[in-house]
Parts: sequence; C-alpha cells; structure tokens
Amino acid sequence: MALVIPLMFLITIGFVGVMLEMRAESELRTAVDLAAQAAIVPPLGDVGASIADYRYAFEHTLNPSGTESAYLTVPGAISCSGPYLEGRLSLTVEGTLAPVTCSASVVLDFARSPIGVLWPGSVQMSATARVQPSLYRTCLEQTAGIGGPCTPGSG
Amino acid sequence: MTPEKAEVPSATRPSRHRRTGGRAGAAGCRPGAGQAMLEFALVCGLFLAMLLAIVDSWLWTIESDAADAAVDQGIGVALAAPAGAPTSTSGDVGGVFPSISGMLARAMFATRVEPWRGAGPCPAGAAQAEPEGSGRVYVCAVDDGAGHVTVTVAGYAASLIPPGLSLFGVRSGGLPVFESASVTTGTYAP
Repeated sequence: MALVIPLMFLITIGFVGVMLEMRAESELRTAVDLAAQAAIVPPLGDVGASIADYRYAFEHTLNPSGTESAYLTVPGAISCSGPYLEGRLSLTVEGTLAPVTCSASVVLDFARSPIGVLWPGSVQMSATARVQPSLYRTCLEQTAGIGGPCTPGSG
Repeated sequence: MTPEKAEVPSATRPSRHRRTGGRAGAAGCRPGAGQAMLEFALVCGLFLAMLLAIVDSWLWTIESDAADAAVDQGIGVALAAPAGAPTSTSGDVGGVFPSISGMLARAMFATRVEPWRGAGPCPAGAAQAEPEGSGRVYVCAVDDGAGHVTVTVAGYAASLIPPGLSLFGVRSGGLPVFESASVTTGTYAP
C-alpha cells in the first residue's frame, strides 16, 4: 500500500499534467494561427495596421481569463515577418507568394496548476504559423496597373 | 503425524486463532482479514477517485480542443461578409452559431450547446457564462462596433466530479470550458 498509493497519485498527476500541456499547446497554436491570418487582412502597404492587427489577435486569443491560459506566461511579444509586412510581395522558388510567418512562445507554469502539488516547474513551448497573402483580398484595385505595389517581384 | 499429536483432544488443542490472538467468533474469518478489507477499501476508493480524475481531465482536453477549433472556425465565419452584402466592414456574427454548433455538440459529452443571449460583450469566463449548474456551453459572437469581432465558447461541460468538490475552477458535475478569440475585421470589396 505504501507503494501503490504514491504510484497511483503520480500517474494521475502526470496524466493531468500531460493533458494541461496539450491544451496549452493547442491554445498557443490557435492564437498564433489567428494572428498570422490577421496580419494579412489589412491592404498591402499598411504595415502599421498589419502589426496592430496581429498583436491584437494574439493578445485577445491567448486570453488570460481562459481556464488553461491562467497558467501561461508570455515572455515576449509575438513576432511576424515576411515581405507582405514590408509593403511588398515576392515569389518563392515554387512560384507562390512568399508567406507571412508568425512565431511566439509561452511558459506553462505548473506551480499555479494542480500539478504544482507534485512538480512546481515550468515548460516553455513555442508555435509558428505561416499564411500566404492573397492577391484577390489585398490588391484588387492595384493589380490593374502593372508595376504597382501588388505586382509580385521575384525572390 | 506423530502418535502424541493424534492423542491430543481437539478441545484442548490450541487453536490458530488463540495463538495469534485473533477472534474466532466470526465464521470463516482469518486473522488480518479486517486489515486487508480496510486496505482494499482505501485503495479502491483512491483508485476510483484517481480514475475519475483521469477520465475528467481527458474529457476536458477533448472538449476544450473542440471549443478551440470551433472558435477558430467561428472567427473565419464572423470575418466573412454577410450574405447579400457585396461590401462589408462588419462581420457576419449571426452566422457563427449555426456554423459551429454542430461540430461543438458532437464533441461535448452530455452537454447542450446554446447561443449566448446576454446583452453586451461576450462572457469573460466560464463562471460568468454559467453562474450555477453545469451541462451547458454557450456560443457568443459579437461585433463591438469598433472594428473587432469576438467569438467565445464558455460554460460548464458535464463531468463526473462528485458533489462538494470545487477545486481549480471545477464544480460538482461540471468542468469549465472557456475559449475566446478576437480579431480586427477586414474590409472586403469583391
């Protein structure tokens, strides 16, 4: 009995911990996905709006009032990069529009969760999302003029 | 068997119970049986409690993942222009519940999915959506009029948590589910 009870306790806490980590990863992935999609909603060239939109989407999706979000700490702001966020479009070697790439990391603090009873440590996790800008959604008016800001360049 | 032992009358033979100090009153009771039963009851109770904890955390993960996916899909719907509006700067928040309620209901065990009927912004937590009871999850989609749409899934999904236990946001028979996302609406012109 002295062996069985601690073992059962360990298995239960371990299982809950794994579930919590899976949820946190899913939450982070959703937030980064939505932020990447938000980055390409403003028209090409409106870099300020793109940055504001992806930050807003990330901060309001990884919501601190969420159940598992209460155990998460965001050490740094989300960062997105890509030609679209520099006000231009470029083609990849495959001939598609170069994507916007967003990445963020969070720290899952087990000390603030039920797992803290057994292991008050923390786990760092990160997520990356890529989205391709759409000419239709962003450059409809400009594509009529060849050589305008919506004409993709090479590289 | 030696002859000396065979001659000892059964009434005077020291019983096993007497040797070990146990009681021979209860028919068929062996020494240590009570202790074993007590240990079994303790371990069995703990085992059941831990099994319920494992099943509940597994249910919570599935249901929260479904809520996450539903919110993600709801944002996509909310950002689309409403039907019949060729140009729109506001989202189609009315289309969110019909779009995601089916997938959400399939993942929620013994839990009803209902549209949020409260006025103003979406609930900021599971307890705000469902102050008492459990077994209901609400879908909220609002356009704040300032260029943002918010989609929230909040409530308490049915669980196996026994009465009188409320720790870390769980309540009797209910697991908190709260997923929310908010994005800036785009302007679309086909």
